[in-house]
Amino acid sequence: MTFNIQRQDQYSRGELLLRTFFGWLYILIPHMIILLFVSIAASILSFLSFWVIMFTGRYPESWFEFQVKFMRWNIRVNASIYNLVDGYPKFGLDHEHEGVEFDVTYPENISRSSVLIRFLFGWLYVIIPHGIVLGLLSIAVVFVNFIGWWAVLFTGSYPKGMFDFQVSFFRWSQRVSLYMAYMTDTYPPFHAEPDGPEDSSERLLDDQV
Amino acid sequence: MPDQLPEREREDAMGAYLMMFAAVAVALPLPIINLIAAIVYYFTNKNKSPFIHFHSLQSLLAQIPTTLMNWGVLYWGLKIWLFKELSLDQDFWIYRCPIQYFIFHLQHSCSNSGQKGEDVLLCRYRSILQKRGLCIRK
Repeated sequence: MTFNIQRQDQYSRGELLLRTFFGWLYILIPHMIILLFVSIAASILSFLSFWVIMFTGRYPESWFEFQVKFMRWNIRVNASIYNLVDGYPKFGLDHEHEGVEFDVTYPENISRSSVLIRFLFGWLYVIIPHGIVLGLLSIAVVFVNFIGWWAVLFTGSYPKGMFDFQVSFFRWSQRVSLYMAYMTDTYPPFHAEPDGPEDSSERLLDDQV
Repeated sequence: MPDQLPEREREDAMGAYLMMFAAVAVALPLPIINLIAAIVYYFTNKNKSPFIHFHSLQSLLAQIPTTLMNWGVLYWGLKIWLFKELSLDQDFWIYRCPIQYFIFHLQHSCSNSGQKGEDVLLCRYRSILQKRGLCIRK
């Protein structure tokens, strides 16, 4: 999985204030209304894909792509609402935000036994342990986001540590979502480090240099 | 030939018939959800290959009488459940089981054929599919 949100050198204070006071109106509500319907489709496909995997051992490729695009859309809306990126998140499954990178390699085969165990006991060995950690981290994210907001307002720059902490939180929760959506066989690790060198913010910085 | 069809096309064709389980997926016993899912699936896939178009349309057309039948069965079941104090009469199961079996068998056969790359044709929709130039078998 490749997940990264690029930290900007400078953030617009005007956009920050606009998002804070009216973001719910012009970002959250319109996106959530459409995403609600898309999420119904995504959950139907996710349920059906379980049965398809059980019979064929494969996740239908076009369904997989749909799920990735849906997740990408969610991530760019979240990134915008959490003030991690400037600019308005685009509507639609086929669009991307230039600062938000999310991709998942399509697995040719998915383990049927692993999927069945996840379906039956996923709540026990994935949702509960990861949920507890992510729940605690989400409290920290709220505080960090609040402090980050003031930092951007006064300096126009997002402190790197705070920014990376929030990106890590989203990366971690995304890994859990992928695993529970049967889109990967890799159990999500209990850390938020990137998967490989291609997934790190350093690579993006190197590209800029 | 079925063997020459890409795996992805066959999966998409198969998926069209799986829309009949959409109501189960959202845990709402409303047959209309299956129909909506089939409509959405058809319109999102109709511009793909003729093979996928054929199966998506056939799934959608098959979903219309299926939805009507399901509504009838649901109405019947609710009527017994709500007005006869949870006792389902024997006739309900006698009639319902073959209807449900027929629906599942029909959809399963088509889904299986789609996955194999075949174009099983339900005769009721032959003329509609032929008019659209999607029918391979005469």
